[in-house]
Amino acid sequence: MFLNTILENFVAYGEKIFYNNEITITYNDLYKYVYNVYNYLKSIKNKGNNVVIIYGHKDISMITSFLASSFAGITYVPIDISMNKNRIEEIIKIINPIAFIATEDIELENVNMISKDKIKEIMFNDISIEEINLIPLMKLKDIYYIIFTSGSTGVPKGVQVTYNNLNTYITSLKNTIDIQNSKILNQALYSFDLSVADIYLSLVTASEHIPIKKDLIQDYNNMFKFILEKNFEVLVCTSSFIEYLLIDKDFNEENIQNLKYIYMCGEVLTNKTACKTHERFKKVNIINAYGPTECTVAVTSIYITEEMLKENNIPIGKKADNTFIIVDDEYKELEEEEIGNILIIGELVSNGYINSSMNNFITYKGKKAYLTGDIGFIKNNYLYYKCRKDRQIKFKGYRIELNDIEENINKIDGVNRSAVIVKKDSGDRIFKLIAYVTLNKEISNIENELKKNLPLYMIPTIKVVKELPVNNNFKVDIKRIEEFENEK
Amino acid sequence: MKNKIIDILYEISENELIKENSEIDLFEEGIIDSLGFMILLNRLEEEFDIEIQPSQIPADTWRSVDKIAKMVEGYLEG
Repeated sequence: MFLNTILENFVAYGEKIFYNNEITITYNDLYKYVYNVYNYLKSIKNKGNNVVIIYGHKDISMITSFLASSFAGITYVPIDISMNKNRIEEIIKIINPIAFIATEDIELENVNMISKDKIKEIMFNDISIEEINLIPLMKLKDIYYIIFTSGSTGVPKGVQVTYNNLNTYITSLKNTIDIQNSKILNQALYSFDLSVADIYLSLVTASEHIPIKKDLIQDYNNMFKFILEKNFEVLVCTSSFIEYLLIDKDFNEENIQNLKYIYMCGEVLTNKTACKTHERFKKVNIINAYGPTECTVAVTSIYITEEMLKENNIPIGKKADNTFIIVDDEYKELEEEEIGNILIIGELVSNGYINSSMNNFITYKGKKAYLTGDIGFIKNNYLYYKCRKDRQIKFKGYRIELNDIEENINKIDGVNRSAVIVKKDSGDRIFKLIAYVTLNKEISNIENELKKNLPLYMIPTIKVVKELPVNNNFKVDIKRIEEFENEK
Repeated sequence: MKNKIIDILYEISENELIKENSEIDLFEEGIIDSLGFMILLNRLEEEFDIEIQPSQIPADTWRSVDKIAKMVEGYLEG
């Protein structure tokens, strides 16, 4: 089990650096911090299910709390500061946590708050390595973490991933990226499960975890200095982030000499981006991975070869991983090149949602399975993605249900109806969300109202109109609005 | 030049503020984020036929229309 591996690394590689940002933290430091918080959490644990919420932005106290909870047999829910207060309050209601560990300031009521100062005080309690007696209490069937994602009813859905799910994933990830005592650059927020890949890969291989914080990503000039300085060997990111780095021609193998692996997941990797990455980094292994949060970060991955770049569609996985099949709407398995639903089967399928309909979680030939809503096909034993079956999109690296935005707009007093559409640039990348809204009374600022309930990346440009076009079934004709917007 | 840049920023953000007051801080007002930044660079490169290297440009250039205009002029003059 990987918690045991982490424990071994604490002992064997104590002097090595784990966290490398403005400050550096060694495995020894982390070992002490985790043990202190573990003891504290054990003392507040109840019988039955225990969940803590861990809030903040890429601070070492967040990772400390993740591990302390896991070792103590407590489920954690990671939440980034980009999530707004109303959504956090909804999540608190859903899970009823034993504690809310706030590694950044936030004011909340009706929850057992462990403040920034308090968690630091617990972490920094002075102990010697000899005193530590850290025993993993997490069992394979226990829920390891719950990650919340946009839900089509307007309320976020909590995906429950077990220790067994995560252990299966980490084992396969270690086979895909063969490293030890390496340096891994992190892009994703800790509330996004892509970060699970880089955080835990670092921990199980006694490697350095190098997070890039939000403000630095916005500041291209200084971000570039930061990545040149850090000499990382592995980059885990979304394809949009690679595109962002590729803007600068100095992002190449002469300047980033140690880079060996780029692991991309969470978004479609276009042929253009794959080719450009390969041109700049001829010797680097470019890995494209695929999987929804519901199936533990990723279920399949593939090394991109020059041969693959000749085709427009870049594969997202390989049949040999044995984690998925393509089925029609009656769950009949389809032949090669036939287009159908991507059905994920096996150990990576999570325990489903804590607060939402489980319709997509099914049993297939006696095994746990998840119907992704992704449409794709298999060709020459590679898996290809075609499109979504529903209105889920990826925008700025976030997974968003367009219905979630509409539901939240419709809740605003004065709004009659709304339709959210996406606007794409010439490279087929979504660059804007636009909401067409009809009103039943005069209201002034819909955006500000909406910001109370949704994070910034989900706020569309609002266009108030007299009426929305409808189709024959009197449903809003999204296609027509989209055509109108994109013709402009 | 400045007007062209304002047009591009408006096209990206559809935020009226940029038309009303070109002195505003583009980051503080949320006119551009990292995605907007990518599109802005693309559009500037197309429009003025230049190649911009963001790693060479001081961070606060991107906060103001005037500074962006000066930067573009710098590229045009070689």
